[in-house]
Amino acid sequence: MWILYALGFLLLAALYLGYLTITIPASAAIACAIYAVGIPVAYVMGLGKVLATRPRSLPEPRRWPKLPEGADPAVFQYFYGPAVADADHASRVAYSTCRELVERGAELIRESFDQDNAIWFSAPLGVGGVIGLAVGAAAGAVIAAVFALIHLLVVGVSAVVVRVAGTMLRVADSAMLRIKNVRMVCPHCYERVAYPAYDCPGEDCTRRHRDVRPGRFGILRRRCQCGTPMNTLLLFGSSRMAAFCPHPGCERSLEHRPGEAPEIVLPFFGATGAGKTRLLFSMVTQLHVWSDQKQLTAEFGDSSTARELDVADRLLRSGTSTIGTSVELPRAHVIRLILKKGTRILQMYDAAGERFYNTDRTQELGYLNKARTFILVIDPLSVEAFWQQLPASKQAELSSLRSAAPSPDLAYQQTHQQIEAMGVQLRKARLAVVFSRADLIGSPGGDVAEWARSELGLGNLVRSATQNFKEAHYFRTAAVMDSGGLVHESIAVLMRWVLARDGVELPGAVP
Amino acid sequence: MTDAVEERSYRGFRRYVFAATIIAIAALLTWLFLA
Repeated sequence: MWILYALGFLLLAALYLGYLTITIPASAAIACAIYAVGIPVAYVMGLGKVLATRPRSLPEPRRWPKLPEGADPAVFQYFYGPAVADADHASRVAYSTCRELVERGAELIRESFDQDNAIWFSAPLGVGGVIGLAVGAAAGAVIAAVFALIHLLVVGVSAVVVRVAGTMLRVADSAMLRIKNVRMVCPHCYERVAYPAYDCPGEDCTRRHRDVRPGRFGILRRRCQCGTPMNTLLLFGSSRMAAFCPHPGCERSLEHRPGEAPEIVLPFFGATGAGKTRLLFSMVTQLHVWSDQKQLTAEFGDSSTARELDVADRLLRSGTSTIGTSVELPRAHVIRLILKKGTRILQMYDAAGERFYNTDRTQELGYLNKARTFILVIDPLSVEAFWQQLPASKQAELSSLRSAAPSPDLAYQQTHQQIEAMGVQLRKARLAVVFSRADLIGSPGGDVAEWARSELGLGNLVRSATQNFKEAHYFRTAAVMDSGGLVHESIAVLMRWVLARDGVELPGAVP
Repeated sequence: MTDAVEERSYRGFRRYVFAATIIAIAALLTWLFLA
């Protein structure tokens, strides 16, 4: 009888052993496969949730790039921080899913050892599960890590491409500005503007962006915090937005759309009452005459210039005197010149004569070192030697128009020294010496410089101008307009010479 | 406001990164199976 029991036991033991040899590897293989595949799949699903579907249940990312203090009010470009934050977010979401997956497996394994009636059958499943879970989770983690590495590689390569593209675009934009000879100057604070600041063009948005160029906020375009897209480069039309001076303390409006065309800085200087403002008015009027004749297009660059110069032709036509220029720092009169060969932005600075008598006041005229051509205006009547030569009847006629300012030499020397002190190489600069009031004293003809030397006694001034400047040219002008609406021809002659170096070909013959 | 703006701004980039990652993973797996 005992033999039968022994045989039965051996049979059962063999059967159970067979059961173990099948169930343990099988459950291990199944668990291993589930976790080796499940963990990478969980990672990909996490990635999909973060990058593609973004369900409402998606937890908030733990890390997110924050705007530094004082930065522009724009949204970061994706590859300047948010992409890496998304990678971190995706790995956290995937980790949480994987943890749930592992916990569910561990629960099943625990249950397999907790079966009172069938522990002999369930425990081997648990043992296989433990082995499979350990091996599968390790393999799955390695595969998921490879997937994460691929994701980071995609982000890294894209970030490099984006940064290189941004740098190249910045370089291309700067090169384009250089080729077009566009150097921007603020007409208010006289500082060079590397790039204008822009206001967000969005409705009801007043956020100002100080540097819109390609960078951490966008390559081709950036997005304001209000959601409005903005072009990042002048090449892409950023000049169509409202521009402002980026310099702290100024930040005033640059209505003339800087960056679109080369700017020509044209300072007028000379003694009080020399006729600087009148000359400026006549030049502007001449431009408008040409504009009316369709020979070019001249328009006011900003509302302030329009307000101040709109009366220029009426004043010139009526022959009335201009009111004295305020001694406050001047703001440039901005004229946009559209010619057949391109557009130019003319910035004309007309400072009061009082500013050219002492160093401190001249020093404040920061635009002087941005100019390449200067206009010195001299009233011949203010030169005592010339005045004394005039007959008494002529003196009586002109005495009310004569400038009572100090000698023109003073304004010239003062300004000339200041321009040099500001670092301008005079050997590269041009000077137009303009003797005003030709309509009153007549134009004797001949060489103007010689006339200034002999008749006005300005030999020192003429010598200094000729020696120090690359080019000095002498003009006699009459800032008047005839009844037919034509400005005196001397103004056109002066303007052609003044603007010739900047590639501006004005109507009429080149002098 | 900014969150919504960011969501809108990043949508395209996120989809591109996801697609590029999936394509790269698929390419790697294909290469492993064929090798």
